[in-house]
Amino acid sequence: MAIIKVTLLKGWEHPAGVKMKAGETIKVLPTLRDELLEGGYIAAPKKQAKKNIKK
Amino acid sequence: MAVFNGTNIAVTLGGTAVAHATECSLSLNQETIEVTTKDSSGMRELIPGLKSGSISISGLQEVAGSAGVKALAGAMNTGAAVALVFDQVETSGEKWTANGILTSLELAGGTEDAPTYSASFELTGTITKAST
Repeated sequence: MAIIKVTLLKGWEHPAGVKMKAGETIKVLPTLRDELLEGGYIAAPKKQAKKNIKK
Repeated sequence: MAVFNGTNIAVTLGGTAVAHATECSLSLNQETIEVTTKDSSGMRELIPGLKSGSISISGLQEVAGSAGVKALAGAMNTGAAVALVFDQVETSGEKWTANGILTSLELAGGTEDAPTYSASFELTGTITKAST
């Protein structure tokens, strides 16, 4: 399972009771990444520009 | 033989990887119950008892950031069981998931040494193994 590096946009309380600050970068499981995304704690991943494929 | 780099093993606490870890280990145990009787022909007989496990992690203390020793200290303060994953991270690896209670947290700082932490969790309830 991939662990994803994310940067918090706003303060978030870790399940262990620690308050994490905006701007902090943490590595999270995909499930938590989805929860953070839903709660607006992290920015949505940028879509990669499609490459022009010459035929 | 497809072995992989141990650096790729990570422990997550409450969904976040414990930061600045240098070592981690998972220990699984199976207790036994002795059922030897006079009819055992002089050989000890056992049946399986409780299964248990523990996860240990150690690493370097950080100046800033909350995902390392501060998260561990938080788990110690709350005293509650937290979700732990011992994850081989590699795509074909295995992942062990369980709740654990932090039973020891040690911080150390020696002269001209990087300050370290070490923590041990006793696992409680179901320990699940899945392929990643």
